[in-house]
Amino acid sequence: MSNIFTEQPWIADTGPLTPALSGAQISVNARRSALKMLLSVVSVFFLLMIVAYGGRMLYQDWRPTPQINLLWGNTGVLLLSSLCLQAALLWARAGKADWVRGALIGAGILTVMFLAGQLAAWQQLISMVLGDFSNPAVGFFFMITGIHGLHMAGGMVALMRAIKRAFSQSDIQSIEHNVSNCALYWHYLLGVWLLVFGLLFTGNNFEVLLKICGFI
Amino acid sequence: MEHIAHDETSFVRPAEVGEMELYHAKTWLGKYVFSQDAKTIAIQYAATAIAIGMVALVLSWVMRLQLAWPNTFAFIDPAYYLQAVTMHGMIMVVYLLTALFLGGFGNYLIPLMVGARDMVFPWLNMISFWVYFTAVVLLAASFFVGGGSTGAGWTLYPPQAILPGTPGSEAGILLMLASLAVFIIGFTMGGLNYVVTVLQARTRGMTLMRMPLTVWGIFVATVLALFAFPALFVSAIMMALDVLLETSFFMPAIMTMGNEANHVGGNPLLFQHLFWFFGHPEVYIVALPAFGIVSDLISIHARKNIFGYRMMVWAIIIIGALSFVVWAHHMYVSGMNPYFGFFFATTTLIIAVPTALKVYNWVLTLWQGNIHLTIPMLFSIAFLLFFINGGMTGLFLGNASVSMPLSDTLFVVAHFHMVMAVAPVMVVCGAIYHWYPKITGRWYHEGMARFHFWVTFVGSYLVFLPMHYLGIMGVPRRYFEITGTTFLPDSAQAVNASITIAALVVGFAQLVFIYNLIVSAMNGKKAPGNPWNATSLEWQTEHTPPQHGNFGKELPCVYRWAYDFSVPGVEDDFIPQNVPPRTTTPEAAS
Amino acid sequence: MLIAIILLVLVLGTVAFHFLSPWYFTPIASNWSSMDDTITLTFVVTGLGFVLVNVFIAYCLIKFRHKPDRRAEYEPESIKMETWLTIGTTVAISAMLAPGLLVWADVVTPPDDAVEIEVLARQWNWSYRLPGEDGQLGAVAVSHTSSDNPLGIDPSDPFGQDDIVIYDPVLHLKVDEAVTFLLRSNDVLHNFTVPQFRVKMDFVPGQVSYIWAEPNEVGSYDLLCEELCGVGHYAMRGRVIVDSEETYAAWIADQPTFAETQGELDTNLMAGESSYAVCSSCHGVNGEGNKAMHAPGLAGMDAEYMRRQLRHFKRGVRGADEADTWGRTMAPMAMMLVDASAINNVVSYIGTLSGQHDFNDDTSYGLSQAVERYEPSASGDPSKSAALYESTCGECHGASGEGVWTVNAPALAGLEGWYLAEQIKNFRDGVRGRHADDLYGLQMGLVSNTMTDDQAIEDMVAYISTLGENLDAPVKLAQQR
Repeated sequence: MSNIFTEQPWIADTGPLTPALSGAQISVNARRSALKMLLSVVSVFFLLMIVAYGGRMLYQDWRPTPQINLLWGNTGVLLLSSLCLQAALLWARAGKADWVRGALIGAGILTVMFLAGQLAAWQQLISMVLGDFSNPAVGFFFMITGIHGLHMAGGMVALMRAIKRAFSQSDIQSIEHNVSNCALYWHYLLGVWLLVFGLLFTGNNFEVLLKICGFI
Repeated sequence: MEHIAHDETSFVRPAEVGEMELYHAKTWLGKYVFSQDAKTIAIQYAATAIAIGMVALVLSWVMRLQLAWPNTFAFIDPAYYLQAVTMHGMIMVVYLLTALFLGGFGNYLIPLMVGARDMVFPWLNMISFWVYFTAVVLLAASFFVGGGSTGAGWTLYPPQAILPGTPGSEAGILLMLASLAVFIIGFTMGGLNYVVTVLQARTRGMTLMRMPLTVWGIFVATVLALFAFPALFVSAIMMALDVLLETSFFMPAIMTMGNEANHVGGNPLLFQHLFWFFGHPEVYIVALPAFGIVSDLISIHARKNIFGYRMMVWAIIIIGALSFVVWAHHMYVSGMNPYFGFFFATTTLIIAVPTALKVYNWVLTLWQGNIHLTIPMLFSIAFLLFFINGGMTGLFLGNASVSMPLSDTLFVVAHFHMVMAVAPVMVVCGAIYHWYPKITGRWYHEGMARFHFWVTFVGSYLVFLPMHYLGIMGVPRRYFEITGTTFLPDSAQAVNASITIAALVVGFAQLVFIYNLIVSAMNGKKAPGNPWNATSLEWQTEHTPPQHGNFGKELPCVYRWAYDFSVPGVEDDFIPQNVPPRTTTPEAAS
Repeated sequence: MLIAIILLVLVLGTVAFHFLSPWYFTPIASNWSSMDDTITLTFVVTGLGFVLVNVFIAYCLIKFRHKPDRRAEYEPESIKMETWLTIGTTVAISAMLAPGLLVWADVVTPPDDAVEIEVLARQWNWSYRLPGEDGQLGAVAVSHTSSDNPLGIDPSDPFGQDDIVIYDPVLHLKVDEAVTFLLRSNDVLHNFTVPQFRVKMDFVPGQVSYIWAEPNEVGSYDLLCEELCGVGHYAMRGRVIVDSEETYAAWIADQPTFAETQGELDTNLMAGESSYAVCSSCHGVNGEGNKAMHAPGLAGMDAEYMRRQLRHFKRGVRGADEADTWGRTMAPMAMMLVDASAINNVVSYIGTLSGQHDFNDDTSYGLSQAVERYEPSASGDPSKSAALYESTCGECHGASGEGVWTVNAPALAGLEGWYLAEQIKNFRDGVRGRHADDLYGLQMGLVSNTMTDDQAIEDMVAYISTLGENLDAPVKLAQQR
């Protein structure tokens, strides 16, 4: 295998190569590759917000957000939606069409519930701070949960497509890559949510954050 | 993928992935408006970018008129001047150069040069253009809202960007932020396309190290764009929230126009860190494609392989990686912790080393070459002069203490125009002339092109060289006028006037360029498929201009790198990439 | 061929330009010559690189230009050459970086014995504060900032009471004394730049940044803001005057402490009334003004503005220009006010005046004066200058011409049209505002340049006269009599 470290590209290949075939399918790998690239980009995005949040925590006037217990419920709902998708993936590989359809719909419903729960949490927080957003923790809370929610909503578009294909296809294994990509995306956003929620919104985890960042 | 064997046995390198299914448009709208063919999308990107770039060019004339002859033009007041400064900068950097290099050149050249039929996600490609178009419309709309567009400088620093006292601090800044957010979404879509196409859709035999440097430059620039734009996106959202919800991300406790504002505790420097975390890679997003393209232009028109190809590839990669750890050299006098200056000055001067190596390699490609002074070669030489000059002044500004007297003066403006504006634009012009026969199937008018070259080359140098010295004298940037000081000589005003005259002349020469491009496409002499005798795959297409699907029934197989020029023992002075060994011309291969 | 020649011309021309042009750093007046030396070193190294590489390019273009029998060499790479080039470049770059970092270490470390001076930057002017006898600056906060306490000094902090406050854009420094400038902003980013000092630093609201220098040449230097801070950015000018020890001592003795400025706010209206008697012969018994005497109405005029103008008239900062006929009559008037208290008293008294014209029924004198004062200008078109006012003038003087105290911009609404036109012309033509100590005048001079001809001034005056409230009330009142 040639690699970018050792190859000497001015040395030509010997012998003829057979030409590439034409008319094959769009590469499944390309979609997965794009998704992984997208997830790294999204990671940079969230990492920057977390670093900004952490940096802001260092100021003397830091006051954490008021605690909203609804968020624990939302976390549970999101966890369940990821489980549904993982189940859908395993059933797709096993060829169990109806189970896959059910699991996909379940994941969709749970995600909608999560988003509705997030909106409700927002309403709670707005009334708690009486519409005054100058507390930086509050500003960050809305921004980070809002961006996370928008990404989940974007994922719903892909999930809708997967559900549509699940119902129109009898060979359920052919949509395995669709389900797999949705599952990867959902697990990723679950991971982001656990990190963000655990670190930033469950309390004043200032020392924890500092330890992780290596400051103490 | 196996290691290449270099013995006599024939060797079949398998295709890395199956070939993709092409989408064939059926309606006129589907073919020319909502096209999913990367070549059409490329033209759409380029046309939109150049159009909005012309607007920015006119804005630069407004600035220059005011600086040369202050108190003469009643329609230029301090607010309008700042709006012109801001919009000129933002349009040129983001909406022209980034869009043109990545969306324009990237879309056209990447599939052709790697031997693919199209980008891997054609529908996403189409959407990405229309998202970019929407971003341009939003930006243009800011000229027409109450208060006009923002006048905060292209860097949009808070708190001033959203406070009274700066033009456009209400609607103008919001439209700018919205436009940037939409742009970033569009270029994330496009970026995924370009990156995955390079990684997954190369034709048989096209290893990464056989790709032309044009592709490497655009590829690494796209990776940079994907990782850097989130920082701008985050800062745009935070600033928008500071305006709309009165949050305090960037807004400390302040007085504004005599009254205490409702903010508390925010940090303006957070914006600057986020902005420049994006902003520095952004200048490499503009520069790296130019580096890649000019390598190919010099090589082809000097009939010599690019010297040190592997080093050139690694230099592009290292420059790209290092570009993420130099950002605060834009912030030496920002009020950030001054001890950061040690770190960033060091990394900044380190990044100069691979950049210098690239310059040496370009020059060593000319050495012992067979140099044809074609229009593309002339523009490449112009690039070298401007880039070397701009790179040298960068060494002043990167060195923290040396930069102090020069910060925020016209020296900075002259530096970044040399290195990021004029030098890449020389490459853009050279590249457009170089690929013009392939894209249109016709020749451009040679006389008009020579006129365009000489006026642009000499004129641009005369615009920006004296500007350095205005900055050294102490003339600050973003100043509406420089009268009323005790230390600036009157001759400074004369320098301003001469710069303006040169700038206006260069500006008008670009109209000749545009005219040439348009008229020659219709009436130019027909051009052959490979007029420059180049080796890369886009010159080996069946038709010129290439049709939908690029290569006809069979994709090419690649046996060699893109730089087999003047190979010893071979009669022709070039061997295309898809020509098998021991047969040395395309005809003998078939 | 031509390309090689032009390339050489441009490169060698650049070198010639560098050495022959008169445009270089303004002469240094501080201790930072090490910075200048490092810059010179950088010019030498980069200049050599620039010339050598470009001359080599020109050489290649000539020697290896295409000829029919020419064939290029084929050399994919040369690891040896690349290695040596890398090493050479690294050495050259280190040669510049090392001294640069050494100087930077000096920049970030003010000497222990440096005097601390606080600079307050605001849109679009400068103020200063010195620690006073206790050697310590008092606490400050935005919440304490008001027109009576522009620096926002905490009144309950004992360290702040003896702080010397300079509410003027001109700062004096003692020669050969190191100063650490503590940079504070109340509103937006600004930047402290005296080109002759070489060092500069941004102001960031919400924190205090610093820079230090030791001025070593007596002289008067421009202070420029170099971080875009809004429409007034280019007009935000100050002055730093480096004095010998004796001159400095005289200046500092003249500056009030914070405690003194708070004390000055007590007023004696009786004393003010008796001071005003001589003013009333031109400005009117009720401060209503008199066009024939070129005396504007004073009632309703900004108090701080009047105080500053009286100080300026007294010192010849305003009204000394030969062409300023009417301004020159003010100097002897202002001299009669002995000190800051006297100025404050008369200004406070003027604040009680009604501005009403007294009427003589026979001649209808007052009515025509009132009408003249308050009717919009006949020759100006307010719609033409509305955009300019909103985008530029209004940012300092307020959208309704009400004045903004942080900008030190007085109210314009209510001023007579003829007076406004006269003053704008004076600013624009340099009759007013060109004294070295009049930085606000310089500011006005710069911005009034945007009105490129007299008609533009008439249009602006017409627009300003539409601002404010109850302008027709005095006319109506007069008409009722």
